[in-house]
Amino acid sequence: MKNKKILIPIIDLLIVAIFLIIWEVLSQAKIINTFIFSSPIRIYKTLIDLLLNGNLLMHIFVTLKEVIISFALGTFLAFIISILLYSNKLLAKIIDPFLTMLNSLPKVALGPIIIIWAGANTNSIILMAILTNVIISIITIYHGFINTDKLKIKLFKVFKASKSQILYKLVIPSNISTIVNSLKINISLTLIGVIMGELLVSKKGIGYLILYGSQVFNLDIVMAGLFVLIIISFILYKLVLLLNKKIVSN
Amino acid sequence: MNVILNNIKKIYNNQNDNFEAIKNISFNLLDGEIISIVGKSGCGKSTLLNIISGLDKQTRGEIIFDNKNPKISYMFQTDALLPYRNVLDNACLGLELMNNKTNDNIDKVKNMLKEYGLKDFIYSKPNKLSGGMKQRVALVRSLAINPDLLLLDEPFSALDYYNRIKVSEDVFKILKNNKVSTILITHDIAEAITMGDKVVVLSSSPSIVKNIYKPNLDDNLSFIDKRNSQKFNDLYKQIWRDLNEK
Repeated sequence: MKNKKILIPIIDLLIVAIFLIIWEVLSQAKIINTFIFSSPIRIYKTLIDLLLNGNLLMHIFVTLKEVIISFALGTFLAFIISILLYSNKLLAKIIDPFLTMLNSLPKVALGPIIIIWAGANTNSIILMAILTNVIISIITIYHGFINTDKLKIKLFKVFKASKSQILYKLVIPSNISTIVNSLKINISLTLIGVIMGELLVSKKGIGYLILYGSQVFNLDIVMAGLFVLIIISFILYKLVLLLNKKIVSN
Repeated sequence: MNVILNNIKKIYNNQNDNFEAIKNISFNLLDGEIISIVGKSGCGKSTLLNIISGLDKQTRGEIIFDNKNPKISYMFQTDALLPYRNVLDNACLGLELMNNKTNDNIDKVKNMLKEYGLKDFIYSKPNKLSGGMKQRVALVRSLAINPDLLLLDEPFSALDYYNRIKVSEDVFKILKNNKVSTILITHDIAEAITMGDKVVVLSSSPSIVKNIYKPNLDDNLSFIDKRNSQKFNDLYKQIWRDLNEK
């Protein structure tokens, strides 16, 4: 078991290393076109270049700031709306078809409207990210709430518990793991929303960097941007997992 | 507390048809008495407890309690303990919800937990307890509010045969010592006879009271000795016949 725990990340790293080596070898041998596909060494050089110019950290900082704000606001909104829906069955029934509709709607299609509403600025990016993460979070948390153990609700009612006692002493604590699990989905969706927003309106951020790279046909910048994005997404996901573990163990 | 059930009837009104779960049930529960109710699955036993506890309303008939606002506790098939609370906080749940969690009451609950063999687990989470221990915590939670009436809905059915007899005997002693008026629902005829001062036999749905028996077994006998007595065997056969009669 312990061996497996060590072995799996080693295998993962090996797969990545083999992939990068094959990519680089094929690039050096001119079997693949580096103008279109770039190469690991060119990406590395571009990253160093961007880092030394001071631009990369600024882009990372902008994207992270937008992600954190959208993630926090989206999670907070989803939590509050789920409580409202749980507390008001009629409201939940009215809202349910809209939630299903909005969930299946590709949020990028709302981009032009969002830009008109919120302007071509950070607000649009945050709004786009919130729209991307909030619906699925509401659905996940609300469904957790309504699936709270009926027997325990019955027990609370026998003890003449008020609606708010049932909510705060049973429904919310029973669903902590559901809420924390929704954060895992939420963080990935927030990053998607932020990058979509940056592709549409931004002048800063990793999304902008990728867009800029493609506009000037510099695929090294595009690939470097994607690489940074993968790293950011991985670190954020791991942080949420850590938070998850901490809350669940408590 | 004395409880009188008078001609209780329950009909569920659905969109397409009406379903009569209980036709007519009447019986009296005297202060400190344990009444066992036996009947086949789906005969409306749990519906009856829901009505008595106020979670559901009868279609007809009345329930008369001595007190205007009786304190009622309910113990279910499963312990329904909250996994995120320790044993003491679980046991104090009713007190907390009824805004009666005073230091005196917490001390009382602690003493009960100690008395019922949970001394070393007061601050443990429920996942550290065995099935029997969890049911004992659920019982302490029910008794902590000092209930006028305790409703037991198949509380031992999730336990294995050995623990079922052992825990039911423990619970019986606790209820008798505390003189708690109790209504026990069970599928198990032997459990109904050994625990009940009266055994109410219900017919199939829509249920009526078929018979009410008084086992009159010596409370000082162990449950195993009760089960070996002639009275027990005769009554067991009689209830078995009642339940299988059409």
